[in-house]
Amino acid sequence: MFELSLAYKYLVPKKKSLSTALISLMSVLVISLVVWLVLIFLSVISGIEKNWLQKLTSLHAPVRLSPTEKYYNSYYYQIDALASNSNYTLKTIGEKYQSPLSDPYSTDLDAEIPPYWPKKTGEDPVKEAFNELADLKKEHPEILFQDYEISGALLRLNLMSPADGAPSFLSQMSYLLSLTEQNPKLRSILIEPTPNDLDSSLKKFVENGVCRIDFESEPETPPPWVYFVKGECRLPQRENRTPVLLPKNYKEGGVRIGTLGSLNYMASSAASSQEQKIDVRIVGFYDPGVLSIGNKCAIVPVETTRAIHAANRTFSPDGTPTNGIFVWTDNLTDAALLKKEIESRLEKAELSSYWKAATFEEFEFSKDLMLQFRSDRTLFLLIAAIILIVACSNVISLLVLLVNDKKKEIAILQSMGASFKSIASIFGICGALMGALSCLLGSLLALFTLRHLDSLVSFLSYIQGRSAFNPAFFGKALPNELSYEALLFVLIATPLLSFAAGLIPAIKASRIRPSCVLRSE
Amino acid sequence: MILSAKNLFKSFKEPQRVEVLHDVSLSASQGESIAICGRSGEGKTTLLHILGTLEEPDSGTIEIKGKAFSSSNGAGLRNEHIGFIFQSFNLLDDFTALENVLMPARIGRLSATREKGLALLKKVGLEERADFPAKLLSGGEKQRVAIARALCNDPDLLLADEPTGNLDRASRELIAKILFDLVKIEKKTLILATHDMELAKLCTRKYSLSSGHVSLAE
Repeated sequence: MFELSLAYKYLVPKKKSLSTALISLMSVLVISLVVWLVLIFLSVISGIEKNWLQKLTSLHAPVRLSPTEKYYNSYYYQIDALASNSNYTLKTIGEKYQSPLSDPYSTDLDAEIPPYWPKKTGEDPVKEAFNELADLKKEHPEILFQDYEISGALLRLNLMSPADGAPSFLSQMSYLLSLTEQNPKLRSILIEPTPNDLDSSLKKFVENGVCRIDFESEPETPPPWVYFVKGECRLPQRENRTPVLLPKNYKEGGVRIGTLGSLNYMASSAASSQEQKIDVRIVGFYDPGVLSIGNKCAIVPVETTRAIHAANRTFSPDGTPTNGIFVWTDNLTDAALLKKEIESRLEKAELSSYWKAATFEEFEFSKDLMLQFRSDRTLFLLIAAIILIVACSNVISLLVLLVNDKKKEIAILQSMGASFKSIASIFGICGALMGALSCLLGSLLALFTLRHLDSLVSFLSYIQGRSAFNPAFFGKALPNELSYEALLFVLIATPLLSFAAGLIPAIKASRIRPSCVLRSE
Repeated sequence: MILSAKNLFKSFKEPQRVEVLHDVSLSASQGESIAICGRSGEGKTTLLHILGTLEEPDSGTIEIKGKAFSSSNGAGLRNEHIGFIFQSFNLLDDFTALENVLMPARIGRLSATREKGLALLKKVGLEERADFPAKLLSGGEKQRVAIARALCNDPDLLLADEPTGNLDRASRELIAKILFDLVKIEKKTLILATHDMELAKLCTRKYSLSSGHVSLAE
């Protein structure tokens, strides 16, 4: 292809055309810098977004099934209030699933069903939904699912004043999330205890200055903090006190592992309401991520949330359903697909009116953030495209110069039979080659920079005399993984834009009248 | 018939209207050599460019080997049927002699092997200069490379614009010999624009171009 070899010859710098070579070098450098900047920026932004997503979905699963109003109005939900087998108490999803009876009502024992009561139709929506999820798991072994419950109670903790050792109390209205042992992120959000996190009475459990958390088999003496046996979470229960995991910010308030306290909630009876108390012991701390209620959310055994649930109903402030089923998948990008698959299965099983499936992009607490991420991404890509267009337009001036310089050669080529298209291609290729070269240089530079991003951030922090990036927003370290989405964007956009920029001089070149140029020689 | 040009008119409007060709008709058969003589500025080069489809006439028709020239097929006709030889050689300076010779084949997406290029250079006695950059060759050598390049796609028609104009006597004679050998031996059709009367005498037909009119000269 002679167009390619000519384009190559034209782009190789020569002594006699030093000015063209310099401009060409400058153009390549400018585009490379822009490519570098775009890659670094988009990679860091995409990394931060990924981190936030991980934090958002670490406590809450990427996909959630929540019961609809129709479920709460259904016979299967309501009947427990009338059935002695259910202790005349409404049941949570988990209790319904575990109950051996789909219909606890007994005509012999229970009062007659009132005429306005919902009619019994179809299959048990809870058991059937779990069956559908179990079938789905056969096709996708990587998915995990478990029911969850959210309750509310007043957490009271007995503390010792760090200053004088005098007793003090901490009271905090808290949300209680049932422990979801199936959560694959559970291990990663739990903060490994250090001896400093322990109450003084528990120091004897420390082995060689380390609080062991992972065990291969059930330990003879279980530690008084949260631990894992072959990856399975255990909340140690001692002295009949309910184990509680608290968000990490409680540590700053003087709460330690081993701190005692209680969960207080109101339970209504026929005549009055009474405060109930559950004695608790703190067994560990976790990172709540960026959940809006994260810092007020304690993790407790499911029996605790059920006990509170049976006594009163909890409303979450952001509209998050207080009872439902979490579904986890390895890859967050699969969440939408997984949701569709679940919806289609529920539809086939005629359960779709009882359940609402939602992905993390639709969750009440993350919806706005997700929308913001999406519009930020579009905005950043648009800005990146504009900067790239400006940088690539440099190519126009260079190639116009080149066309003027090569007028005679263009005319000679035309005299040999080169078509307008071929002549235009030469300069279009020149543009695309410059774009490709700049893209390569910029990408290599970006890879190098990302690899040494920590040093760069340290340098920036040193110059400013304070941390350049707030860890609360950006994490301990800036993400330094190259975003393949960004790389794909520059790999396609840069040569294309450079080619497009090369088209203007290319059209100019193809319009050269060879007879005029050759006559003037 | 290799070339048939009928009723060609051409005038330039800038800076003032000048009629360069007025009702010019010309034809050339295979193995013919035609000289177009005239003073400088009479339009010899323009006529040659029009005959070679580098420029469109204001009116009139041109057929090359039976194919009528139009603005859309000019490049193809030039590449397939016409070889140009210019007074100022017009080689591509950044390429070697061999690359210059093979360029028409590469433009036409034809076979462009080194052997083919060397064979063409051998015809003009420059085989040993194959890998020389074009800019380092002497004037005579450049013109011989230009002739080899004109022959690359085995054209029927050679159009030479003052092919010996920039050369010394010895080179002039050599170039003339090469050109007329091509006519005699390879039956190429040669049309040359020249005011070198010695060169013109070697042609089978000689035309004179004056005030836009072409007339057969003695």
